[in-house]
Amino acid sequence: MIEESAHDFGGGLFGVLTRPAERARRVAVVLLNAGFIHRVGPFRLHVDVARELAALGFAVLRVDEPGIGDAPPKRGPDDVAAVRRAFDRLGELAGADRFVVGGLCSAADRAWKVALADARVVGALLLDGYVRRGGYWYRLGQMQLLFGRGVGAFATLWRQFSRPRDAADDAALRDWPTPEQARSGLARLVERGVRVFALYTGGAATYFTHPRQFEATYGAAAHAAGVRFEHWREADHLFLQQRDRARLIDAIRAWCDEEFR
Amino acid sequence: MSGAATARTRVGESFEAGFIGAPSRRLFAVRRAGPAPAAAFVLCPPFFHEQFLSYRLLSLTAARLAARGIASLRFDYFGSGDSWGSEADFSLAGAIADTETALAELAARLPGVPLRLLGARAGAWPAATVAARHGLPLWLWQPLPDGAEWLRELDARDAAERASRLRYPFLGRQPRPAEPDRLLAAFCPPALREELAGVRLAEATRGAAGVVVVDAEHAPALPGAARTLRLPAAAAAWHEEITMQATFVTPAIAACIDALADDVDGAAA
Repeated sequence: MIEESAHDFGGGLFGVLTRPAERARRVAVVLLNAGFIHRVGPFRLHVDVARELAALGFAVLRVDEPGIGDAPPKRGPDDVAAVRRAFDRLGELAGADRFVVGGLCSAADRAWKVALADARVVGALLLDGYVRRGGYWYRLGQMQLLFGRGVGAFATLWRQFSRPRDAADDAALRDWPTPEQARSGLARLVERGVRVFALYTGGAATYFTHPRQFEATYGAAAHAAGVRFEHWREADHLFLQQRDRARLIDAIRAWCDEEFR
Repeated sequence: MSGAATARTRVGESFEAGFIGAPSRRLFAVRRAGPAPAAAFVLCPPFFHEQFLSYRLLSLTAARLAARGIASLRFDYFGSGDSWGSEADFSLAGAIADTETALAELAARLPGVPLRLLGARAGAWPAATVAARHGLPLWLWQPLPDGAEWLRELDARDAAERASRLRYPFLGRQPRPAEPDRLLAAFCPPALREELAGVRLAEATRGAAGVVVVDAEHAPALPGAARTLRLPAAAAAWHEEITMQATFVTPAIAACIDALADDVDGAAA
């Protein structure tokens, strides 16, 4: 049996809490907004994840951050403080004192910052989060894309390959660390014992085309025992097909169950 | 609103979110009201992926109408959004029953306040059915006139998405295979297809007390509509791409919302 309830966390944060009817685990999960999609997630992904994890004993909060869904308009730049206040309230509501935070795309970007800022974070779920675009492995991945599509796609891909970067590329739209900050940041998280699940989809191919980019970006910490990395090149950025969503939900459930007992 | 809920005041309006309905069919709902509302409406959201694409727009629409003294109850159909149930539980008949539940909740919360319904896209169908049953005024936001036609559009988009290298950059020379009983991301088994294919909006609206439509500038007029408010193409295109974007209240959209509020003022005069 699980229960669900709506909560206003103040500071512009609104959310729905899913939790087991019995006492929840001390580790709670907070799912942040994927872009401007409200707390249900793309195609109800967050609802399904929350209910699966609640069945395992986790309390799961699906939030609307300021300016999204039913939350009031954004008033300040401090996204991290709003999420940390939600941690405080989750402690009162669900008895949690440690947190897994994460989500897809911009949610991964904010989860990264929250994980670095708050020692209560023990897990980070980073779906299509940051890696450094460019370099040998990225270019090799682009070439593999080219050959996978056949000769007919050569002209299109060549334009992508050779085009100058413009202000509308991913780095301009996302809240990303510098490569140096990324490398030192993951090392700090690993040192703290934070578990990281970094998953990249084929939909991130504008900046991620080859699995070796992960190590090239994050260095030795990419191979730490607490860091799980996967590249699902056949999936799209929003997990539109049910087969991809089901696979993702299974992977998140298994990761949480193994890492946060 | 029963169960755990939240209540607060936002610049003169009360905002309450929680669950309504029978324990076996709990529906997530959000109620907004200013002091002494002149009218109140139930908002029926779009179906399938259009529900999340429209969420912020409809939340802001409700907020703007609350500021004009018009209360609202928005809700998610059983098996969709934040409501209980799995996607396999969603049906058109169920959506109509859920709209009745929401209307009864709103009437109980605001006794004596004139009620109406607002349906967006496919949400026009349950909204029109319930408005016609009760002889209530009806607002329609970019309504879908014909269920079979919408299914054909979704089938075509489903095929296009599965073949799209923008969505699937690593796609080989074949599109991704279709999934059984799926329409884009949504579960849509034959029984639901049959329900949707039988919808004709013009028939469903017969009996509603007065129909005001907000629609794209080139959309055909709905037969029987008392008034049609026009949105520029950019403000009407929010459902055409499946992305992480949201639609906000631009001046053109605000003008349509304000015209709906004027419609209430006119009815009261």
